[in-house]
Amino acid sequence: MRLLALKDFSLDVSQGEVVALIGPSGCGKSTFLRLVAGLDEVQEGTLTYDGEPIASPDPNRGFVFQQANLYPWLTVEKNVAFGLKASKVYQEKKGRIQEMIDLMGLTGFERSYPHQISGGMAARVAIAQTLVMDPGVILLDEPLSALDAFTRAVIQDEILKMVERFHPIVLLVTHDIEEAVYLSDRVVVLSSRPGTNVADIPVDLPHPRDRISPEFIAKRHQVLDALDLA
Amino acid sequence: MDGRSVFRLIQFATAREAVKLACPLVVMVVALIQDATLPTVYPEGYVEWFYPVFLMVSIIVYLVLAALSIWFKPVRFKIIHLWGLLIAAFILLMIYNYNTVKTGNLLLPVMPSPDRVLAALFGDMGRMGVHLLGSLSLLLQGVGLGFVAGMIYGTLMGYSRFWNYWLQPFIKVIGPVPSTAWMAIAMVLAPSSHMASVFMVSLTTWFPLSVNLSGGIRGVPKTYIERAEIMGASPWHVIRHVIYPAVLPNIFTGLFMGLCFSLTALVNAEMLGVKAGLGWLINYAQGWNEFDLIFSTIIIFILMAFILLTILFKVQQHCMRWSKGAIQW
Amino acid sequence: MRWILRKAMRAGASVAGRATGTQGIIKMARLREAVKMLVPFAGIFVAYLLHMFIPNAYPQGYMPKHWATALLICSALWAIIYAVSLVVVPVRKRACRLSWLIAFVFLFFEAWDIATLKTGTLRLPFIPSPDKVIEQLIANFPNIVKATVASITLLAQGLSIGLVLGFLSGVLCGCSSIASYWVSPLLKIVGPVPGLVWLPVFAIAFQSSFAGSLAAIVLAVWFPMTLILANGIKNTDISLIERAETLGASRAFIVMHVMIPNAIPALADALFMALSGSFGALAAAELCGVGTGLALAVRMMGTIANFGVVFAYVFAMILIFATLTAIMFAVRNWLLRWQKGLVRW
Repeated sequence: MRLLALKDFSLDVSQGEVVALIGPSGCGKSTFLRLVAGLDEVQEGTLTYDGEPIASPDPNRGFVFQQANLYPWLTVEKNVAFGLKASKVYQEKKGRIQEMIDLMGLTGFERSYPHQISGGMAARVAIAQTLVMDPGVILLDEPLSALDAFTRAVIQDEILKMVERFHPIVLLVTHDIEEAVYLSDRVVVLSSRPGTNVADIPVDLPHPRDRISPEFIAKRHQVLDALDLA
Repeated sequence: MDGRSVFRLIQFATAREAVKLACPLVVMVVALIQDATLPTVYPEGYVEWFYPVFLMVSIIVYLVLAALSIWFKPVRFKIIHLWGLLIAAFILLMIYNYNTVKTGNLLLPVMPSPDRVLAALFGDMGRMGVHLLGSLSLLLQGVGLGFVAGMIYGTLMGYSRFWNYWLQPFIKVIGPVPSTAWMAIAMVLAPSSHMASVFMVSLTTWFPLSVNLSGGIRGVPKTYIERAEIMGASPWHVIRHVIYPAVLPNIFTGLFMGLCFSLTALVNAEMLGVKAGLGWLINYAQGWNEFDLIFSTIIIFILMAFILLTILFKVQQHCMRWSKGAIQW
Repeated sequence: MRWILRKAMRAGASVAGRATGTQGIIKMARLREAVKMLVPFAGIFVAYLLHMFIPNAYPQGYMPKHWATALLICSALWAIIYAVSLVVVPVRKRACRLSWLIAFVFLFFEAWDIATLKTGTLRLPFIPSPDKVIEQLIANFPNIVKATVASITLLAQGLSIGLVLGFLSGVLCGCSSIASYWVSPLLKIVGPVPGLVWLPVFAIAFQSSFAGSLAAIVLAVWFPMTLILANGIKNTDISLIERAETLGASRAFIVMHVMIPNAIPALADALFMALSGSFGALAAAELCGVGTGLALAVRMMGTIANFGVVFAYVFAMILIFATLTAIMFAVRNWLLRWQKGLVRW
């Protein structure tokens, strides 16, 4: 049986933009990320990056999955290095490994195995594993949904730090409106299955954003209203 | 997709399936024709009987199954899955038949024709049955005993530090040594050679089962046990309802290994001690250079091992619907 | 947890001599260990006394020569371990843990000594006394060494061929469904049937009984390796593969760095089964094919009712097979070092 996940969905994202995709469960947000990653094939329509159609996975489009699911037989350091070895750029880029580990606050845990670190750390390793590739597009599929509020806030700031430094396209799928407003330049609201974009709300607040400022809360309301319509 | 094209798709699928269903049948018929048309030359004056009958029965059985498969989807999928293997098997049979009884390229007594093997298999079914039953009963007694012993031993070793300390060295010493080596000692210690054989077979089930079970129990997440204890479960309740279900994969892995090892021990016991059973029959046949009997006994042995393991894996599949990652057969 | 505690205690002790409380605890622990390690001496001593003071009764006129000496040598060995363990901490931990067990072993052998030599409860020729077994061990030492070398040579050949073949076919069947389709019936038909049954067929197919025996061992190793390894590879979590794909891994890289490592726990199971199976096949092959080796020696000595030698050979077998199994488990632990809740041998 085949499900129609997305219909009449269009989205145009420019370099350096952070776009949050938000919508009810099963609206095709994750499917869209998988399509962009090249893990699934587009049935009808077009999907291009830099003018090239997307057909297969590419290390230039990094994917951070919902579950950290690290390679349990590799240490933190080797997990981070995995992609570099996989795409045969280890020699040129191995300096980035330590950089990423430091950026994600994992210093001192390089030689730990995944079962020895906490869930929050595992999520950070998963992000570092993707970032180390220096991808032009970063796809985040609810990477923080399993974490406690405090850790989540810390990692959100780390993601922002990373965006500021590398200016990638970031597509963030999330259920958390606050997270969407806090991180993104645009919030795209999808309707339930088959997903269509019902609203595209620019978030033009300066960084760092204050989560309890009236403007921030107003934006949250705006997204919530769009979501109710969806 | 409109209704019409869906219909066409089904038709196309069934057409492909029909071809796949027909191919093995064609090969079987060709095998029958080959056997009927080519003259039997080796050994001179030999008259075939069992092989053509076997081919005819195969064809009839296959036809019945193919007919059933029109209505029963699982049967159809199974047969279609097997089509390549069936074709290969009957082609090999044809080649072998050609080289033995039809030309004499492969010589007797070492390379008996399919007909001779079948004759040894079906010619004296009473004898074969007696030996099969002998093997089966020895095996089941041994494996049953080994299962009980292994469950107790493995549970004690995995659950209690004290027992682990005292039981583990014993298993380290006794377990790895092949049962054949114990045979010489077991024969004099046990009151009868039958009991010695049962003991040997059970040893080979007990060893891998205990090792896998105790290892599995030590790997059960502490939280499972603690959660049950918080709810007021007794140690036995914890073992029965938390630990055993959690280590079911280990138990089945252990049993699988145990059954495989027990088959070796069984043959050993039969060749050395007991005076009946498939192992004994092979030994006997080898002594008299009756290779047709050797081959037919091997076929029976393969069937027995295959059926027993298939039963084991079916039970495993049934017991472990919730889990993936266990060994698949 | 305990390890951390110990480390902390040691660190604390080295930092300051004034922390007498910590040092006191360490001293107490050391003292307890030192006392516990005396237990085997007590066991050996009791065994020695019993052996020396109970008169020999069975068979009449038999003068034991070796058992007392063996006990003395053992106590000397333990004294050396004791001395080493005062300095080397890991040795101490290990030795201390084994103390009760070692004492028990000596008492067990002494009980055996009493049941045979001292009272004749267990009769010759079937159950020889420990003294007799040691005597035979010394007398037959060259033969035992020869048989052991023969066994190990055959085993090493069969094992290495089987492991390589099994690994290759396991990976192949795990990665490719076509390979799996054609190999799995062969696996199911040929695999579970013991090598001993195939021996007559192998002997013809390979034209020599040595090659046939080798094939029987190879089969016993190849079967579990292929079945379990292929299964482990097939069960690789799809998310691990997709993650590698998004990181730019090629198919070959995924097989090498995701699927095969993922199958390591299965490989550990397979190694256990392969090794144990190969021992059984080796014994069978020796009995029916090659005409040398430990199992054959046991069998032959059994038929001529020379049970002193039988026991000597069985002890040699225990030593070799238990050691090989222990080595295999060490390899297994090393392979699985990244796993939580590791199963130790």
